[in-house]
Amino acid sequence: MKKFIICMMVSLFLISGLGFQAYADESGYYISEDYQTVTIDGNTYSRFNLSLVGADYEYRDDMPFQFTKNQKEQIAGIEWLSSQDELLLEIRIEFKDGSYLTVNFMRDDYKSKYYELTHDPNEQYVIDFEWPNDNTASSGKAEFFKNPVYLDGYKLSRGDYYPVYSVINTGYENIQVYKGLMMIYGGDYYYIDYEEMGIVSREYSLYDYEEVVAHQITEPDFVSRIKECEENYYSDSWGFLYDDDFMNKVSILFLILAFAILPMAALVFTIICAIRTKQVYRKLYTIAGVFAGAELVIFGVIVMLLNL
Amino acid sequence: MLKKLLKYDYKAVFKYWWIAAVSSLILAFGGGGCLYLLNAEKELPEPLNILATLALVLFILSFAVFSVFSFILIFARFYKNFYTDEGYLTFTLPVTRLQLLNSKLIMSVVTLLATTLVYIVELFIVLMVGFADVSFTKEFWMEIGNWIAELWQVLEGYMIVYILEIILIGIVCMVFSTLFLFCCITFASIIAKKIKLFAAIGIYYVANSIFSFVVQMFYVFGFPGIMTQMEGLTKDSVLLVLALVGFGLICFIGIFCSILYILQYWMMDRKLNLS
Repeated sequence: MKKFIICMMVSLFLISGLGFQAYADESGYYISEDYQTVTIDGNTYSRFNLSLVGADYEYRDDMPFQFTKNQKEQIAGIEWLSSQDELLLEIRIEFKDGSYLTVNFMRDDYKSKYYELTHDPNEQYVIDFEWPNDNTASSGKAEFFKNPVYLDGYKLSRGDYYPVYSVINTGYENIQVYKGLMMIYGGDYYYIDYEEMGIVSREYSLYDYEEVVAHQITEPDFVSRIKECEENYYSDSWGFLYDDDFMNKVSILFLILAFAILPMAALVFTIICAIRTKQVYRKLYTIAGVFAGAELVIFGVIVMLLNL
Repeated sequence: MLKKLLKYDYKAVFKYWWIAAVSSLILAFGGGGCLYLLNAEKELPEPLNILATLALVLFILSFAVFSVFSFILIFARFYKNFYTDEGYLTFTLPVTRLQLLNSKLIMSVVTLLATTLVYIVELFIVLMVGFADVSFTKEFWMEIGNWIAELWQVLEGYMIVYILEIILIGIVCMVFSTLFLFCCITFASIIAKKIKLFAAIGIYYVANSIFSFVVQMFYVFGFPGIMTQMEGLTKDSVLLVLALVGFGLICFIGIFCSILYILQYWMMDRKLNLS
């Protein structure tokens, strides 16, 4: 009986050890040597262009990557971020030669669903004026692809423009997929699609395109909603707080308060107190008065030099 | 009599201060050594790496502890000498209240200056030892010399003015912070008869929060204004304006120091029931 119990315990111990080992193997973090695939906890991710996707990434330092011998010789450090649902990754690698590489990945089992969501004919596109909060106008995708015209990229680059995106719900969170721009040109509203123009990241300039394919937005109800957003953008009652000229005036006011009004008040106070008090206090008030007087003189000179 | 007061104040404070300073300097060598090990190209075994990192954190904490210790020595001396049973003896000495206050103030500023000097020496030791591969080479010191020469080319004589201003601003800030805490302790001693120390800490915390908020507002709203107005000025005008702003700051803090000094003296003279 004793031998039986001992055998059972040893077997249990061995099985749990193997179980932990299997778990450890499956819960490894690996990146392929060509940096095209990543394996995390048994899930495979492939390299994917996410430059036009706006997701909230979080730093993940919970487990280190397991490198091959070659990678250990080349890589100095690695940090990785993921979206909340771990469907999207961003990996930043620092190499020992001082260079850097940033790569985005998408989980393989999500790719087809992602394609479906981003090529849905009933997709809603949102124009975001970015100020004030929730200043957006949205419509069906079809409204954005009517009335194609060809415009000069150089002239267009000087106009006002606002991002256009669609919102995808991944099941865990909402992510924004940037589709293009809404331009205001010659009093009209045009949509420029990134895919049509072959733009694959948000770092570009219309200035570099001689000819830009644009779609004029003409549907009356949608145009009036865009106009309303534009008016909200320019007539926001708190917008003046962000105006450089306003902040400049506040700065000057602050300087006058700190270096002129306060020292002036201190000087008057110390003169009055020095006259009314006895010997020891008089000396102390005189010292304070000298500082205040010197401050006023210095401020006067600074004002002359800066032409305030 | 002021000299005698200073002599006893220095004795009381530096009796313990020098032990903390020497310990801190020895730890600076240790900190430099750990930094050297962590920076070395050879990869350390993991346990040694962790030990060196923990030791470095300990050394950094010890620098903060030394600073706090210096402050505690100053204010313990002030509080004990004026507001405990020892105060009855202090205020019966044949010296004026002004001399007593000046003695404490001078002792505090000298202690804070000495603490700052020790910090600079510690930083120098940590950098020299921690980056010994670089810091003991001729090229490194030539690089430093070139950098100073370039700075002199840009700033010319104003470099000496700015260095003097930085030192003066530092001293004036030390005087201000010392008087600020003296006033809080004295005010607490007037309003609270039993838990004077806790009252002093509470008053200091509240007053310091208000003061820090005002200073933050100045940094956010005041300085950008000066920078913007300087756009378009010649180099000489910019250097002169910056020098004047420095003197302006010294006078500005000086006003507050004077007011705090008057307040402190008035509270000691009129409000404390020292008889």
